[in-house]
Amino acid sequence: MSLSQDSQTAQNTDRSMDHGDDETENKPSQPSTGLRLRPRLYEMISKPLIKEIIQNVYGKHLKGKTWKDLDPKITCTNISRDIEYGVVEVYRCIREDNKYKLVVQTMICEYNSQSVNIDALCFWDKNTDGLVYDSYINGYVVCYSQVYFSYLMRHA
Amino acid sequence: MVDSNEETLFVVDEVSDIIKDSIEHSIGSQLYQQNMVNKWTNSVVENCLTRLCKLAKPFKYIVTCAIMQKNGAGFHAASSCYWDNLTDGSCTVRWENKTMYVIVSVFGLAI
Repeated sequence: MSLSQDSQTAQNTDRSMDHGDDETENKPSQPSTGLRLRPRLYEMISKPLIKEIIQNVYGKHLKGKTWKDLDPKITCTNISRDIEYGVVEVYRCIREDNKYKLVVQTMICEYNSQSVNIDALCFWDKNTDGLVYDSYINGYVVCYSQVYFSYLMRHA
Repeated sequence: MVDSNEETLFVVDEVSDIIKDSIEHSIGSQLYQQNMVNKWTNSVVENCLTRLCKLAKPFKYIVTCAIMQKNGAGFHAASSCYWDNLTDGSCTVRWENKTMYVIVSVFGLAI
């Protein structure tokens, strides 16, 4: 039954989460004990949008830079952090409702004609979780970022 | 309520040992060979994930492996996570020999 709750009930639940205990005029909603296995339509994560966020962060931190221009340790951390902040800022379902967990991993290396191979394997629900990746190469620096998002089965 | 039972927590030492064993098992003492790198990365992540799943803990796992040929170029990796610090965890192992760097990261997301 909890899986078939309509969107109106869902809206009420979300609103009461937003305002916490201060909001007493709302109708008391019945506590739900079920799990929601799939995200609602407005909670879906758009992969092209995340890719755009990654590219914007690359432009900000790496455009026109050589390896010697940047402190790779700080740049790498900043790129990861900015991508995470960017994605969290866009999606309310992550920012306020905590419906997703997010992992951003960034690797940066000097371009020196060397070979770099990256592989990933995940144990998750392929219907709800996903991966977005993008890379940046400018002749001096190679940067590769992966964003993993995982839906939490909570709050029916 | 926080479940402090070790059976449901991400134990970094345990995962670190699994990663190191997987690297040793897949690469061992071999030197860098271009035609073997894909096989090595596949083998490392598969080996890691199989052993992590055998722990039978309530986690989703993300395993990544990067192998870079050593030729004097710098290499950095960083991660940023939005999760529950009490239940979730990550473990990164850096391994190297004369010819290559290997960085393996495991992220455990509690269900």
